[in-house]
Amino acid sequence: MRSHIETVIGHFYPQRALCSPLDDPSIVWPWDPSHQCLRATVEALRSLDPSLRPGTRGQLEVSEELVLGDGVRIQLSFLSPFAAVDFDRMRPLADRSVTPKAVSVIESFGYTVLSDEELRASARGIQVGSARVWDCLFAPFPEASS
Amino acid sequence: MSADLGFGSREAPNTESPVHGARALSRVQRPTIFEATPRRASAEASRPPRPRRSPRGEGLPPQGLHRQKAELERAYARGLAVGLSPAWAASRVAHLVRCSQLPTLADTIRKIGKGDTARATAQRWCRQLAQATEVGAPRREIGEASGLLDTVFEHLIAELRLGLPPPQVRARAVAAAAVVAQLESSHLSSALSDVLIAVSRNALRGHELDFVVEAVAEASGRIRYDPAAPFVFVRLLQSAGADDAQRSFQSSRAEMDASETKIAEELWGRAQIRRAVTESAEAGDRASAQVLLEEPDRYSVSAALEIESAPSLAPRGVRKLLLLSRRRKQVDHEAAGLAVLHEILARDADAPLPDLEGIQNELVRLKEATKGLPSVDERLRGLAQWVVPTLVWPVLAALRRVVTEASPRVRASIFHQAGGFSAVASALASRGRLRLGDLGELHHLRDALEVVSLDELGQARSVLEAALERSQPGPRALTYGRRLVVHDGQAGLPPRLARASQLASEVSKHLEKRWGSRGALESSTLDHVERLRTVFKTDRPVRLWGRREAARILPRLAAMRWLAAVAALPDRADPLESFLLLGEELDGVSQAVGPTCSEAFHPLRWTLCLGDLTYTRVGPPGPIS
Repeated sequence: MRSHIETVIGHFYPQRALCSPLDDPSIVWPWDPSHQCLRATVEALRSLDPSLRPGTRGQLEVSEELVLGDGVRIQLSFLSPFAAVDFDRMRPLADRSVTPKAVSVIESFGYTVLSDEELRASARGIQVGSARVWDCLFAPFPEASS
Repeated sequence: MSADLGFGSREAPNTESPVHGARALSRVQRPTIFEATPRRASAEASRPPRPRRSPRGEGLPPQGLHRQKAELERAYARGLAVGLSPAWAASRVAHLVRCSQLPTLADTIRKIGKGDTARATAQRWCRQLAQATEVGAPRREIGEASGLLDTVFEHLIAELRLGLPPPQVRARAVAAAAVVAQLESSHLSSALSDVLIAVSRNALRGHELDFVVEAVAEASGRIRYDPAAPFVFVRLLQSAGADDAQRSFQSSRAEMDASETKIAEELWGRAQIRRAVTESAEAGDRASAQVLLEEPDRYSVSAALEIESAPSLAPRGVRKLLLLSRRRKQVDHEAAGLAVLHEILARDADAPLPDLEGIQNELVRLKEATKGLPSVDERLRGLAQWVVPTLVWPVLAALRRVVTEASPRVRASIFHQAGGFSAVASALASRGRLRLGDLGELHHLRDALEVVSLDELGQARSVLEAALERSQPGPRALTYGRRLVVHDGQAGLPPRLARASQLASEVSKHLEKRWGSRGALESSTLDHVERLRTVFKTDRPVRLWGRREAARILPRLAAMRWLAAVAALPDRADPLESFLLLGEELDGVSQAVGPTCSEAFHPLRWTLCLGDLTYTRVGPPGPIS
């Protein structure tokens, strides 16, 4: 998994710096070019939770955020079928139900839900400055507020 | 000046804002008293008063003073006219005064009228501010209004030498003391000032003095936010003698409950601090005393160093200082380091920290070391030296800011210097009770460690992970570092929830006028997102447009959602946790909304950031009441 992640990062960040891939016209977006998989995933999530709404982290360039009714945030990457669930947020002390159904729905469409450790890992493909895997696959440029 | 009092548009500089407007205006036009920066104000105030003579003869006010006073009144009226509550309008005026030059206001009042006229003018102002802030206002507003009162009355006492005959002063003081003992907050400052005048003139007889001391001490549980109270204590100390005042204070304290005792002790500590500063001023060190007096926050923090018996003051002063630095958007890490280390000075007695003298020495060294450094990075590096011996959440917060702001090279340097991090994390974990602030900052720091990615820190990371695992909330008791206070499930929290909710509603209304309703934003965001989902990823121009549009819409939506969540706090089942989490997000939302609404976010920050309250929960999380 780690090598696949690094391959994706190497493809979308050829300058080895954390620059938005959208700014580089030479980059090819091979996975889900028409957002078909994304749309199907969103529809399935909406049927699971009708209160699904767009999130506010990111600027829709490398990922899209969805917020479930109980506040759990799901991030779906545009670069490759990677997903993150409720990453980088301070959770309430009461255990939040992380909606395993939602995770299974995401995975049924081919997404891989990355763990917190994987997301926090340093991206070796970025050598100008430093970045986490999260920054490369999901993070906004620059990060908007939650 | 902008007519919207802090909610000015992005296009037009918000020249009314004491934080942003002052700098902007000073570049384009001659600053008036209201736009002068605090630093400039203090510099001017340290000079001897410049004799000014009216062209129309002595005794008449010089040109401009009426204008200044009228400007303040206009600001207050304008605040009301644009729909601000009286409390907000008063806060606005207090901001203008605080950020310009307090002595000048007193000077203005003195020059505008003489004797009773000046007193009437001052009292009218004080009444307005007191009335505006008496109901439901946050502490900051009350503090500012009361600070204004302090200044005015101090000036009246020192300079005007009120001509009231001693019997009248005595009668007023005794009556005021009775009022003080019964009042909640209304006109408290005026009453206290009457007491102050009498005490400062040594006009009270023995039994009257005893009565006044007891009344003030007895009321100290209710006047916890009034800066005039310790000032009265100070005068009592000076005039009645420390022993008498101490005895009266102690006897009154015996009848207080625990919370009142704590507050009274704090007031007493503040009074002692003020006395120390007064003494230093009398000893001839006027320059330092002047600096301290001009900046109450810094004054409190700095003066606390001299007094070992004021342990409860430091955290409040430190937090004020930190908030002040952030509010002014200054990367003032010397101040932050000073504040952080000073907070450590007042931490729990069981904390494994160096002794008081050692910290004071380090503080002096840090101050000296960072003063002359040219770059921010170097200052931050100086701050990082203190990470190892003092790993508590304010230090971590400061360190996180370092990590955020510094270059990668400096980051690495910082973490090399913090090589003993793992040992400190172990010590922290061995305390057995991590505070919520520690916990949050440790999470952030863990992320920072990942960003830095130094192999040497692998062990530190594993120890930290273990500490975090041990600190996960469970059935055991968990003490939160944000000191808030729910004594019996009713005190403390519900009023703040209500106040935060009210503030959020007001801010939300202002934002709705500018951005449209939250529903409209939600629907336009949804439309935008769904439209982008229909676009091919290779359609770069449309996606670039989509990014621009998202950058415009999404922060607004985030802010509106956050405000709605804050407004709904009292209705939620788990208000405390929501409160804490929303407070964590405040900085991000404020930044996303931008500087035009910073004025509106200040009261929210003071209401939401739980710097001065204490909360201890035993058992599993659940609804508070």
